[in-house]
Amino acid sequence: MTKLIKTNSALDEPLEKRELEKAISEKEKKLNELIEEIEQLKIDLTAVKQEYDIKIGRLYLKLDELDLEILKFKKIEDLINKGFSFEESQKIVEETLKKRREQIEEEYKKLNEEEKEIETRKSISEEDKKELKKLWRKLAHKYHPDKVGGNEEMMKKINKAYAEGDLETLRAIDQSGTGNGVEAQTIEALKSKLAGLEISIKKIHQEYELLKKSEWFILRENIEKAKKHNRDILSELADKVLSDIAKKENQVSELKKKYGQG
Amino acid sequence: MDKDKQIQKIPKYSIDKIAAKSILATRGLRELGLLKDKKHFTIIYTCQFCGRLINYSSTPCAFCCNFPKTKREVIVAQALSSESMEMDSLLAVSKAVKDGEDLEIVIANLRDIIDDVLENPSKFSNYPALFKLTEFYVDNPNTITRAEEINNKIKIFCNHCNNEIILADKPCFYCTIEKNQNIENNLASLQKNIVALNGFLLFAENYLDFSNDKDAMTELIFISVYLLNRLLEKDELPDKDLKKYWRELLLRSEYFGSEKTLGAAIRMDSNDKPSMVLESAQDKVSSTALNEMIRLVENIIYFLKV
Repeated sequence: MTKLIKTNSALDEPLEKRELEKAISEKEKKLNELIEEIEQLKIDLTAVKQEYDIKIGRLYLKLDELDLEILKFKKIEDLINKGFSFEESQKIVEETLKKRREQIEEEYKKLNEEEKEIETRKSISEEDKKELKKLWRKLAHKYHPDKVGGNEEMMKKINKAYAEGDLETLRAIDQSGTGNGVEAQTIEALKSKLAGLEISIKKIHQEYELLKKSEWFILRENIEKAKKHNRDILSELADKVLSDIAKKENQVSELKKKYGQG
Repeated sequence: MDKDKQIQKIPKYSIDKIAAKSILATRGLRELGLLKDKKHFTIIYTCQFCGRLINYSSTPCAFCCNFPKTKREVIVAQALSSESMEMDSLLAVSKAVKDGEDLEIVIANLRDIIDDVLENPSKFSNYPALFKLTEFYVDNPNTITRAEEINNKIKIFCNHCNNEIILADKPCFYCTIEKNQNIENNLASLQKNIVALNGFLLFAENYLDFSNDKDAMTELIFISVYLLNRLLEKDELPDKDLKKYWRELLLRSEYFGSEKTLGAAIRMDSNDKPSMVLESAQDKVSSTALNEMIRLVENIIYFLKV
């Protein structure tokens, strides 16, 4: 009796191909869900950062300014003890502190920009919000760096536009975009596509774990936890920093009086 | 050290990608008690005189032989420790010292801390012992002799061109690139380990600004400082388990480098081998970037191998 030996794997190809295509479609769906989840988390954490920067960061900058002012007088004192006059000492010290003062100025500018962003976001209509979300999802699925043909820079641009409520930019990106290229056809190509998707999913999981360790995630979790107990930890922190500011302001005004600058 | 006294106000070189760190956020989280201090393998310090990362605060620095001699310097040495600041701040201070910056300006509350300890010594119980230790080192005639002995071990030069040997297990880098000559370095195993770890740490101090896993990279730096110190002080080759741990941490770091200064990074591939990732086409990469990355990769390869 002749043994039937399976030699023509091509006969099985349609089945294997269908199975692969099904697996790819499931993975793609999963990847898209994860992309949405992680990108939304990044946007949410950016919002937490902005809220913190406006409420608290600004106060810390004020504290830094006061610290610098106190340091200025201490350094002037050092120079006076070395025989310099007050005027000479002040000139020397101001010069050494100039760079740091400029840095604080820069930080304030960044905070002002963030504040503007928050204001713009607040003024977006509900209808535009819906369109923003819809476009953002579409573009994130297309350009996320973990997807074939993805683009990290473009993804950053998309997220920035979404966070700022910049509908025009999202529309422009959408219209200028090209397709993802020719679909994979051969079994080998499908297998490689599936493997690529699995790697992307793994990478997103890893990125998610890192984000969960970030200070903004910790802060968000704690803000939410505190809210349940009717506490506003950012306001509590602001009060603490404000009291530090008051103490330092007193210190500065005493130093000013001492050197006849009050 | 009092938690409130922890130094967090590093205005420059904020290394944002090492884990998207924000100095402002760190301060707030600390204030709220939400930032748990992580326990590390050892305590490390930034040398206030040369900016290198070191393992001890009171003994002379292995790289510059300098050590705290006054109360003020003792207080600064303690302030520049991993107990007081986080890795990104330690690295920022390292750069600031190397650039000759005034640390009182770089670290806004440093002067306050110094004055506070000097004016209210009873508030700070750990300082009297440290001041005594400093007196001992200042008065001990062997301090400098021993420091120079250790320091000599880090000075490894090519017999041919007199340049520093920067590749642990390859012919002299400078003879190769400048004279196209392959001059074997013939280093002992101890020296090769010193060159390899020193190369890695110099990269971390001077250029590192991001890592895929900040915690792993931080711990890797701690272990490296410890291992290099043991090599220099005790002539002790790295312990097998520690090397295994070093390797694990490096693999966890996966992708790290210098985005801002060099535009180059290292990616650990699936076979545990480091490969260079350069931001732009090779002909546009600066020779400094290329040389630094060659140094880093070659030294990592050596340290992974032995």
